[in-house]
Amino acid sequence: MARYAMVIDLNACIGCNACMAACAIDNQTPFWSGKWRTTVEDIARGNSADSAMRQFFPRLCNHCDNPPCVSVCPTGATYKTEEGIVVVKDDVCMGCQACTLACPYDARYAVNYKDNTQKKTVFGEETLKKTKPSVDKCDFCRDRVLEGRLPACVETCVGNSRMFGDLEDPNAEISKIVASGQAQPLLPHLGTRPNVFYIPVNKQRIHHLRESDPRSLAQQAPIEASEQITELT
Amino acid sequence: MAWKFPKLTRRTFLQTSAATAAVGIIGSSKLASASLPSWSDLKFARKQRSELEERISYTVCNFCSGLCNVEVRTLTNGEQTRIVKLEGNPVSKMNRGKLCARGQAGVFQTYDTDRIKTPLIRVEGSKRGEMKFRSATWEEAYAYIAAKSANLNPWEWTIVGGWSTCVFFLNPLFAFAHANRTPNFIASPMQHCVTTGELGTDSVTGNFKPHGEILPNYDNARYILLVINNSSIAGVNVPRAVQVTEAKQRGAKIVALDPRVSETVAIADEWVRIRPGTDLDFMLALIREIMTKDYYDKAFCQKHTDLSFLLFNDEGEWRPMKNDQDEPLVWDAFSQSVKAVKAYSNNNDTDVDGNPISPLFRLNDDQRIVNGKQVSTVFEAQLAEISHCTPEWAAESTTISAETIVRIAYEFTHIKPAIIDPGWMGARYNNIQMLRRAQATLQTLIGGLDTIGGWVNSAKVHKTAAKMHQARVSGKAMSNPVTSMTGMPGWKAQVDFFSNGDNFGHGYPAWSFAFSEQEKAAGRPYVSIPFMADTGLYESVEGKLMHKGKPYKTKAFLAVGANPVHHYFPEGRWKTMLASDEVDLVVAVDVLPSDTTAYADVILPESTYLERDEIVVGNNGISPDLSVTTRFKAIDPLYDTKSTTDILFELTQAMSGEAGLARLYESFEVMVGPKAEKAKALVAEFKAENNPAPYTAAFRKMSMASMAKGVKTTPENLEKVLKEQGIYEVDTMENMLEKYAMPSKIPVLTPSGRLEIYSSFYDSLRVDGKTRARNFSVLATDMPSGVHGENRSLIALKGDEFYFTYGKTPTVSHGSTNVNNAVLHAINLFKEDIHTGVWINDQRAAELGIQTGDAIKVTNNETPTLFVTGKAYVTNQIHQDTAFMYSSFGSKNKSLTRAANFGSAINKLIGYKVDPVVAGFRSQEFTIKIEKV
Repeated sequence: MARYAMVIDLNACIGCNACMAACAIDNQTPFWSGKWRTTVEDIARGNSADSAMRQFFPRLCNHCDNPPCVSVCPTGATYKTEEGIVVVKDDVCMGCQACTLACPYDARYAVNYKDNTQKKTVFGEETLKKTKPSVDKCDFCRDRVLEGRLPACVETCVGNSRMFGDLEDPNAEISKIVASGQAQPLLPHLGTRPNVFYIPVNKQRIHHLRESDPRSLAQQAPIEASEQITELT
Repeated sequence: MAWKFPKLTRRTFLQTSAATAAVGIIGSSKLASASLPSWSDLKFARKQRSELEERISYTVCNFCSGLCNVEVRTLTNGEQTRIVKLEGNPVSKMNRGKLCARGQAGVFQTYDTDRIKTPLIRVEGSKRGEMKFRSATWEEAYAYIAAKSANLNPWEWTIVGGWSTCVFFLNPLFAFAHANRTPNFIASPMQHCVTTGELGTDSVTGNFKPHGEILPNYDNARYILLVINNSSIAGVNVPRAVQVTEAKQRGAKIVALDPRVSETVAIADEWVRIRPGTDLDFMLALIREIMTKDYYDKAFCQKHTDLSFLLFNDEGEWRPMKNDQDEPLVWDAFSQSVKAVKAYSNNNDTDVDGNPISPLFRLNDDQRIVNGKQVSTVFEAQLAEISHCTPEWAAESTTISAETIVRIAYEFTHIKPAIIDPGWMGARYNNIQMLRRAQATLQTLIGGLDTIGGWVNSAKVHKTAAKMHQARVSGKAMSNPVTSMTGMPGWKAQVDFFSNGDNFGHGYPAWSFAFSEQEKAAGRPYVSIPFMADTGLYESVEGKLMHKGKPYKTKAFLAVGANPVHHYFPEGRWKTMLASDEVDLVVAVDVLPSDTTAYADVILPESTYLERDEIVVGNNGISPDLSVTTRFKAIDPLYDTKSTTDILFELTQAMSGEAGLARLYESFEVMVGPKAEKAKALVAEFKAENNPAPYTAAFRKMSMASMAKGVKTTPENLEKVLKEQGIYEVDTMENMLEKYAMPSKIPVLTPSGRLEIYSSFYDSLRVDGKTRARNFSVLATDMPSGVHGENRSLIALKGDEFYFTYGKTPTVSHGSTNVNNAVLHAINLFKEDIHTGVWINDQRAAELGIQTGDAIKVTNNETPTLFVTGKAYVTNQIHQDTAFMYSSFGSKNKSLTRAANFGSAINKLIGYKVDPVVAGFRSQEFTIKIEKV
């Protein structure tokens, strides 16, 4: 069985928001009400001019192996599929939002009646994927994945920051990255066992010339100096 | 046919937008609606998606000059079709299966309820700008234009082309201008980007092609130095961004000079927090360091540049030292004598007689006198020109330490391969053309031209340059030079075309050139090459422009996909012109209403790029790989709209009658290619079949046939491959470089064929042998940004005074109406503080008591009548002297239901100031006052 997961390289996210647009359109989310399955936070870091840093931080459902949302769902509308994807069935969901409160990653939102009505006009009634109001969230674009395609956000990720694959497959690129410990999940101490991992920012830090570098300044004689040396000898 | 979408009424829309505004960015996803459902809310849609058939077609994105290849998914029940998703074409080597937010959201341009759905005519008795329009038929609209045109002379028309027009319809629009005898054609990217910045680059490299400029091979670079450039990387241009991020993941070091932490700086390894307007100082110090310390690639520079060519100084003006055959002279180290090298060649390995030579860069005192004149090499002259530009000198203005500059000079020349990004969008300061030229000089010094991991010319430029080279060595002229050439010679042909009134049968050149002549004759400041620029337009509308003793009036405007009210400077200038009683007719062709269409008399609605086939089956994008692509329409037009080509032909008939239409076929034959007679016959055929776009269909068919011939296949096979995968591959970058690398295989497109540090282009702009101003210097030289007049930017600004900077959001194409796109608008709301706020340094803001979200007023200190109000975004991510605004917002047209009055417009603040070379905008040459209101 598969265990799908995502690895996000924070070094390569350029904050273009293509993922938000791709996801909102593919999954027909009520973006006009500020409701997204995935967002990219634009975070300011540093407390001085020299430490100032801007970091883009993509967020989505973590598809936990121990999902609190599933534990609390009273109707069974939300469950983990055999591919390891946490989904919501819109015709079983009663909209109580217990799952929304239980999720420590703020990954769920309610599609209310008004949103649902608006969806028909924005996306076209005939081509709707979900037709009823319900709690909604990222499902790793399960329909696409089952067709052998990548999730919409991964497919379009301009920075190649988002990677997707099956952790059960030891040869998958992301399996190696996760196994190596280069990528870490969010809030692991909660015991949710998330399947979204982040490669932390690691910038090059050497911004000086090496003292012993044969071509460093002190030893690389400027033209003027070399002419003087000629004169001396 | 397509589903008539959406069935939104104005009322339901208003409810939604009110809800959106109330929730806005603070709206938590956990806020459930407490309202009870209405009956219509309880009517759930029937799940029928699985019953629909999915189809895939291919097109090219229309939202920037990146020209990404797009895969379009539609669902159909056999009768009705709806576009459900756009993806990057996975076969594309440019965007590699990816699209940015704009590209993804393109589907919501087509399904935007605010679209112009029928032709509109301004209601009798109303004024331009009041936006009182009535629906009309196409026949009515054309009849209106024809009636007004009858009283107009062709030179009284001005065509304004937007960037999308420029990218896709440049040659057809040249033909259109020619057929309608209209020399006045301004294109919005020229003064903003293309001439202003790129011309500096191209004076060194010889390349000049609007939106076909050099594409650095970032993928394989190990060091990338970015200089005032966010727009072409994370601003976002996908074909570049995918490469830069790949380079990053492969371990390249990315260093960015920017006063602000742009989206690109966010992924850079080093942010060089430079004071605005001082980048040229930084570059000149780098050049000086690299030349003084001999860090440059000597073999490359000897062989392929003019650095060894001899110059002599003629009363302060450098002039090339040539023999009587007009061949450049060099000092040869092998023979210890002066040798002549070929006047046109890509290399200096041998002298004109074929003897191997090793040209010197530095001369001894006993080599100084040649033919009785004191000589220097270009290398020596260039170094002398900037001898004062030490790292310490640059540190004074840039606020970057001399050690950092010294170290970056070392890194740039020792971490290989390296790229100094050529940059985009030059229209900021008087010294930007010089800055871009200095950047090209730096890339030349490391020998990184047409190399893997360096700057690479596009495949199209390579092919054309090879043809031009063949023609030049065999002494032949290129036919149809205006559209068949590339690089600086191609541009020169275009300049000649518009500046010579004889090409239009009436003797009137473009008013911009007439204005330059008038100002020059009157001894006032003037522009040397006002190519497609707006200089003189205002005077022409006002009646203050004379040509050969007669008034040269502008009485009619045609804006094709252009929005000058929003993206020319300042806003009021264009409103005044378009509203002027002197102007008899304003026609706008567009998809969505804009601040410019508000001033039209007639608005002609265009089909979107998803609703039409493209007439050109052409070269695929700005790519070093050679391939062919085109657009296939995914759905029929939703509304009563037409394809651009059909509009251009029908408009010509309205503007210039049957004779004009006949001329347009002929102009198309000359400038675009398809034979006139054949085209006429095909158009007649398609009209007989009731094809709604007969002109598009005819030229598309001919283009498919001629391209098939070009790539040696049948039109049927070409069309089949393009239908199946969107792209027909012809050749790879590696093969193109093997054959056509410039300069290693063929000469570059400068007059000498070498990379020119002594610029023959600027030499050609001297007046009576004298250099007009520092902008025209034949060598890269020091000049101030202009913010402090002739003074350098040496002081830290204090109190309420800041430098003004602006840039692009990744979610909106510069100045375009995709700010109204439903999805993009939602993203902009999600990032409202950052995207629509005025960025102010946190320490400076604290002194002024300003916090994020505070209402502020920003005033232009040079012209205090120019000001804009908005909100503050307080951040440590910006240089202490500086404030920044995104350029995307502040549209005013109230029929843009989402974009109207969202954010603040930069052109309320920016005054009118242009440079003397090409009338490039000097849009950041002032400081601002920020106050809380």
